Amino acid sequence: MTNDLTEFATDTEVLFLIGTNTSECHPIIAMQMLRGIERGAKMIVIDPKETDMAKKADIYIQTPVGYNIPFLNALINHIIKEDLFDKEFVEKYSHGLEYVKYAVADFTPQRVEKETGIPASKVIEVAEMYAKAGTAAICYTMGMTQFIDGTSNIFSLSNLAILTGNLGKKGAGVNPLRGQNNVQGACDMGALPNVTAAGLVTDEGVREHIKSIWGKEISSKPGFALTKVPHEIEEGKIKFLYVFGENPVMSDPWTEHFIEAVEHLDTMVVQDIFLTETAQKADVVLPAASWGEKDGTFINTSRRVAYVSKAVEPATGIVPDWKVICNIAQRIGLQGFDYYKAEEIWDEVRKVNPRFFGGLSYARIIKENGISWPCPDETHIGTPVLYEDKKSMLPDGKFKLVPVIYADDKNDRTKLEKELINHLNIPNDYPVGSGALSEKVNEEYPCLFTTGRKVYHYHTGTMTRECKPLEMGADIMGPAIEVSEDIALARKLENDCYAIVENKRGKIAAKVKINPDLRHGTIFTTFHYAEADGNELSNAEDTDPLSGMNPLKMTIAAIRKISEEEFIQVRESTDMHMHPSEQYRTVRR
Amino acid sequence: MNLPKRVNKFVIADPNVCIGCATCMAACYESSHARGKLAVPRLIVTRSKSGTMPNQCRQCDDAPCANVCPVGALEFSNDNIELHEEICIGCKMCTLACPFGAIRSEAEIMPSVNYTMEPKYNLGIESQIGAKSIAVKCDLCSGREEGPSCVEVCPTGALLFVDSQNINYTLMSQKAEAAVESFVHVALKNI
Repeated sequence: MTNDLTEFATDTEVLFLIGTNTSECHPIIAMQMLRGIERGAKMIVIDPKETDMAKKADIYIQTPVGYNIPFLNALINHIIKEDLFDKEFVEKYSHGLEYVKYAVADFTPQRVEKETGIPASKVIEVAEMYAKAGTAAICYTMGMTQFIDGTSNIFSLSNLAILTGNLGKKGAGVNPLRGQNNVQGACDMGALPNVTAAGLVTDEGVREHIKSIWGKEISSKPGFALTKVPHEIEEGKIKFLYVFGENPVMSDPWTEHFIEAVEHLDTMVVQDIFLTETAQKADVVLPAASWGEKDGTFINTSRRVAYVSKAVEPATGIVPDWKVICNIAQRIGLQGFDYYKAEEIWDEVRKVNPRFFGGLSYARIIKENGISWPCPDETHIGTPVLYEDKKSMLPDGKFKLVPVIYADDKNDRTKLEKELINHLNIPNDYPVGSGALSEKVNEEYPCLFTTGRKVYHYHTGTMTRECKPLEMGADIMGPAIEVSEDIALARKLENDCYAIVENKRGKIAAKVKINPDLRHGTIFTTFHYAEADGNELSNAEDTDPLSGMNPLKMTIAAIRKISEEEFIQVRESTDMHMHPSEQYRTVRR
Repeated sequence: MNLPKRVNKFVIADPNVCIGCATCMAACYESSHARGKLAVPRLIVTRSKSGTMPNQCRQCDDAPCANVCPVGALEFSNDNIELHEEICIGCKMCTLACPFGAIRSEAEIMPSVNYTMEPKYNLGIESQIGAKSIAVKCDLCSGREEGPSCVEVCPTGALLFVDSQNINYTLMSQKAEAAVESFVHVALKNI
């Protein structure tokens, strides 16, 4: 996030929520937003599902799944046409206005109305409310990123913020609401294929800097994106997989393919606190201490580095994840893994990236109850609001407005991008975005299928499904297939009947819940339950050209009613491949 | 004549503040379990077309459920409608009578059953596998010193524990005052 989440309560005038079910997935952030609304802030919600936040919103727009770029371009189109943009900010601190102007020229609010039935007047209302606000914050989550045009979606959002000057001030910004307590931290530490904690591996300066600390040369070649892993295993390029703190059997798209792929591995090691579906397929399972049993730091969604101390001692012989990894490294004979406590590792992080973490000693973090990076030295108070000096992190210090176009056919994206670059004479190193739908509904699979979360469960339920009050108390519904009213009507589905959802990748069976909050023609399910995991159907073949992300939020499927006998049959076969070993089949879940 | 006055206490939520996080349901399960009651949530976060809030027993003073109970399992108690789980025969008359959908028939799930294979949530109605299903409803966490646990855990303060004191003096008189004030304001100008 460019800003701090508490600013939603204190400073934001307009909240622009897109592709986020905030109250279910980020209740704490939703609480701050509600405080803001009580103060008088306005809220715009854009989502295919009429979430609880949408019901509390001033304007709610129900877009089709994946229809983001044409919609955002229409907003930008109106803002430019009506001269609602912040001319001073755009002129002084950014470049690329003429590119964006050209790219959005065809995307009028009227076009949105023609394509989706969303009234043009409503699109205009959103554009004006956002552009005319003093401070407007954009918040988004996986409903923007998990598409084959995820990166371009975010380009569009940053275009909106730059155009309206909503950067570098309290209560504004572009705010990805992070889904885990430490996902920001994991990225900052370089847990991505192309970066280290200090920056890109392709940057020679970064590699030199790392060498000066570790004394070892690091590779300049970016690694594989996570989404490529099953494919690389099948090709024989990956033979050893070490998974920790993740349950990819359930969280990765196209379960059947993933399970088939890991069979080809020579060795799979899983390190976790519970025997997850992935761990049940591993050759070696390493236990590790849970979050309440170890010391360390988390970096939350607001980039705030916070200290966590253990509440209880782990069971005898169980050590934190970092220690398990250090032990393995030492057995291999690697140098430099002889840390005694978490603080030593953090101090090394500070050396590797002094620009962000230099001033964040444990003593200071504990005393001030968390400090936001960048904090280069001990006297720096931290940076809850990024870009207050109106300077971007790019070499020239200016923000880039990125032209984003839209293709009707996903195969035309590169062609259209090239045409745009040639037409406008865009320099080679200037980013250009494009969008398209990964799949379109057809006669065989007439429904849009999307996945998401329920408030009481977390991701693949590794922890929350072990927690009785959540599994038995908060979650009284269990796995369910939520369908829109028109789907239910056409297929004579009623609440609590059994249905099967299938496409070419897999099938799941569960009880039906008719959800009037869903846009017509949409099926929604979660990925919390091994017995009916939405990711069995997810698209694993298409990826975002820039990030490698799969369109986890969008695929196509067919649904039909089934009898209880058939339901139990499907459940049993699902259980068989999720929990291959007989002894775990009834122990877990 | 000085008749004893009986006004039941109850828990109610404010839908404007509720974010539907279901922490109350988890706390309810935990509290029921700890007090040796049937371990199921007694309030249900209900997501409707117009909004979301937990729904639970209003502890009606002249409660239809208690009036209809054939075995006296639902009793007009001092300041609430008390349910004696051990007497309940699971006849579901209370479910039919309740105007709020706040009392239902449930059974505790059994550790020996693989519920992913069994149609998990209909055992409350059918009792196919032998668990006795009985009525469950909010008992205001009776026996818990700190009062209702849902009210205690609600992160947004959306749940309110109303007793006979504040229902008359705080909730009602505040609203009455506001209503009178606005009426006087209009009346002075126009009448």
